Amino acid sequence: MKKRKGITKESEERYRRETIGHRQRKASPVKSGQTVSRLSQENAVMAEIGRIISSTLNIEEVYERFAEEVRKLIPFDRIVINTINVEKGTVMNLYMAGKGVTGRKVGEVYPLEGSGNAEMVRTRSTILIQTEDFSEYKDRFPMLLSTFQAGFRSIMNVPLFSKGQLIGGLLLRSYKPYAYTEKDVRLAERVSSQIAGAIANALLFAERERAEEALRRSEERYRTILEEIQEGYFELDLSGNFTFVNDAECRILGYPTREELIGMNHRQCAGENSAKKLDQLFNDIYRTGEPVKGYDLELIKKDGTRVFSEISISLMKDSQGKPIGFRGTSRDVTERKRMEEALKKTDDDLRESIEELRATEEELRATNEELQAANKVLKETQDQLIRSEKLAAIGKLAGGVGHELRNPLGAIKNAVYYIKGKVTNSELARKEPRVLEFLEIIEDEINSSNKIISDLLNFSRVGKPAVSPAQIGKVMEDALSYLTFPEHIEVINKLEAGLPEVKIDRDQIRQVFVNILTNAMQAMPQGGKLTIDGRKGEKFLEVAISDTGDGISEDVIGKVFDPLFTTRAKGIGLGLAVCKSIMERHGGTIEVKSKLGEGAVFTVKLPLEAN
Amino acid sequence: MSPVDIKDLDLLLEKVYREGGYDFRGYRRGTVTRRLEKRLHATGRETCQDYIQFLDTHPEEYEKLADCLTIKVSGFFRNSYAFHQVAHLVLPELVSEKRRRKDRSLRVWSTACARGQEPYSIAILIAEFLGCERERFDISIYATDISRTALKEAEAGRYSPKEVNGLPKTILKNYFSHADGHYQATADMKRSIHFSHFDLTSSPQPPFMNLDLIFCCNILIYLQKQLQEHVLDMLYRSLRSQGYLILGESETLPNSLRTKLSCLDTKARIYKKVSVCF
Repeated sequence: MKKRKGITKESEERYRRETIGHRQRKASPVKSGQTVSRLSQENAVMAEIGRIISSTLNIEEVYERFAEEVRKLIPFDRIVINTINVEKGTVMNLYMAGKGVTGRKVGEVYPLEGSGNAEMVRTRSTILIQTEDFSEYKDRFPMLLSTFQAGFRSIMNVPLFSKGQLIGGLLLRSYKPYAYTEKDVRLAERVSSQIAGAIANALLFAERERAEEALRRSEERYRTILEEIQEGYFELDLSGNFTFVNDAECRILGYPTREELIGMNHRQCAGENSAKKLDQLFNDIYRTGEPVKGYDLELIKKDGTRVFSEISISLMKDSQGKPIGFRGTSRDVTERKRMEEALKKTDDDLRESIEELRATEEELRATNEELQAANKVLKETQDQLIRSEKLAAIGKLAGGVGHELRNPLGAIKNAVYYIKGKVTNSELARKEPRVLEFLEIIEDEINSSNKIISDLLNFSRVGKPAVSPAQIGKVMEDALSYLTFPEHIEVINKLEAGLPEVKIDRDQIRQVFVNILTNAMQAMPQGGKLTIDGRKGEKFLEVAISDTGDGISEDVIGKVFDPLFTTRAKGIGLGLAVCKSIMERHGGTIEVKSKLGEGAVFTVKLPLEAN
Repeated sequence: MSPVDIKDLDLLLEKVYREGGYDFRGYRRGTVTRRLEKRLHATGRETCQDYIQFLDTHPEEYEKLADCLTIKVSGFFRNSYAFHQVAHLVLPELVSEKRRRKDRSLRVWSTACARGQEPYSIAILIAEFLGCERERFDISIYATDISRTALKEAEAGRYSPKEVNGLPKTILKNYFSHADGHYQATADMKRSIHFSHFDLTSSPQPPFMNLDLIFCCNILIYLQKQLQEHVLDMLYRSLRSQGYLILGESETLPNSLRTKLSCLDTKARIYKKVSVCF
């Protein structure tokens, strides 16, 4: 037989050896009648096996019936049908009948190595071991030791081939030594080749069933997962229509049933903005094939309310790799978004508060500066007020004192005049020339006192100026004519005739000039230069009177306009106070600039009439 | 209760915008309210409505109000840390980049110069940093302000001893002349500073472009968020790529600009415009 040709030399030898003994024992003349009946039985069994195989019986029953039929032809005490996975090197029993080897079960998988099956696989031939002394084989077939120990003396392993592939074996065992003849082997091989196809089919069928079962389970698992997870799952076709959604997705989008959602376009669940973003997203995924993960998007629920969804989308392809749609998961992150927003708002609020605080701080600083400025103005006003109140009090006092002194002083002056008239050229004058001297001293002192009294009265009398337009140069000339300058004082009057007229009280302003000029004169006892200059400013007409005298020291310069301040032995310190008072009443100012030893400049500013 | 009702305040600000030409609509209400109360007091008005009527008969009050609403607190090297960081972080980087590119111009904008202390401080800082190399650089410091009176004073550059208090003697000696009790910014220093009137908050367009450095300190704090963003966007546009922006101590960027301006120093609020790739 074809299969026999594959037998190796060694196993062929063994086979021969084993079977020779067998033959010797069993060889007995066979009667031709027996042969005929045997042949017909063989054919009947084969036919029956064919029927069994083609029947719709399940495979277990097939095995059962097959075993029964085999028994009719070949005696055995145990029959096993197994399947061999050559690659994995494993054997699994599909069917077992007869007396068993304890511990072996149907469905059990055991190693191929060290069994008769291994030899059978290697040689792709039937293995027949018939011996009463297993010691010779125990090294080669350690797995068969238990079979031998169970009492089996004849062991036959017949390979099952399907489409040239060895798929398993038919194992027959007998307690009887040398139970099998070559004819039995041939018969066993015949039935094996008949059953092999059925077994292969059954195996394939079982395999497919198992695969299907696995698929079903896996599908069921996925379905369960899809049903039970909180995440929404959806599938879309390439136009963006829902083709599948799970319940969670329905819940997220607020649809009571999947049927309602399926078939809808995803854009119906997105506002204009989100729809645009989604279009871009799907476009990108389609183009690149890259999935998008964790994309936050605002969607619109069935009832019109908004939901923030974090979605992940990937491209769905068919078995050829052609894109057929999209699948994705989504999560309702509205709460998270809300918290993020709240957090961001808190953050913004905080920032806002800090800025507000800072603004307030700056504002306070500004207010503070304004207050300081206001305070300065207030203080100046207050000084002014104090000064004018002081002036008023002094004026009142001065007026009183002046009037009180002027009349007696007038009487004294008249008396002195009378006495002087009488005494001049008299006997007394000749005898006592000092009398006249004394009288002159008295007259001088009276004049001095009169001057002070005039000052006092002038001071108290400074009233509202009676203004009229005047040329300042004229007023200055007037003032200069009042005074007699010593020769060593050079007077330079630079006042130009072209200066505009000012509205002033001539008498008062002349008084101012006289006072300043007098001071200047007195400041230059050793002689010097007195310069008068004037110019037209923006709003004021300025007249500056400068001398080259002693100058005014820094600690004194701030007080020169204060009433009753004087540095001279004679005079009561009202001259400049009167000037300041007059200037203020004219809406003008009087200022002084000076340094000790460098002379002084008094500047008088009179307001020009606004055009 | 405040004499300023929030609705009346909106009406007033709208009127001030339409008739007075000053736009304070985007300013924070807190400061505006408090400053307005000052004007109410000064003009002897009791309520905001009275004040609105007062404005009709006293148009000169618009300017006074505008003057009052704009806080002009300033000082030389105010926020000294920021100036320190500009000297140690910004100028070295900026100047070496300029040298490398053989670009000898330095363009700076002091966005709200008030009475001029900020632009003069900047001028001093740059001059001190460049030393004798200063002559080789073409320095332009643009100083703008919403208040014309403040601007006039800034241009005069005359400061009281109290105002320059804290400036080192050598700085006073080198950059100011001392006459009749005041300190006068030197003509040399003034030469690089260009003063002009500009309202940062109401102009849609930046007046300068391609700037190296912008100072915008303590202006944003008075503005509402939207206006802040508008101003910052304008400043961003007037900065050249890799130019620097300096904000006030408590001022920050809105999210929209955080990717466009990287923060160099969080405390000194120094930001650098990220280079724009086309």
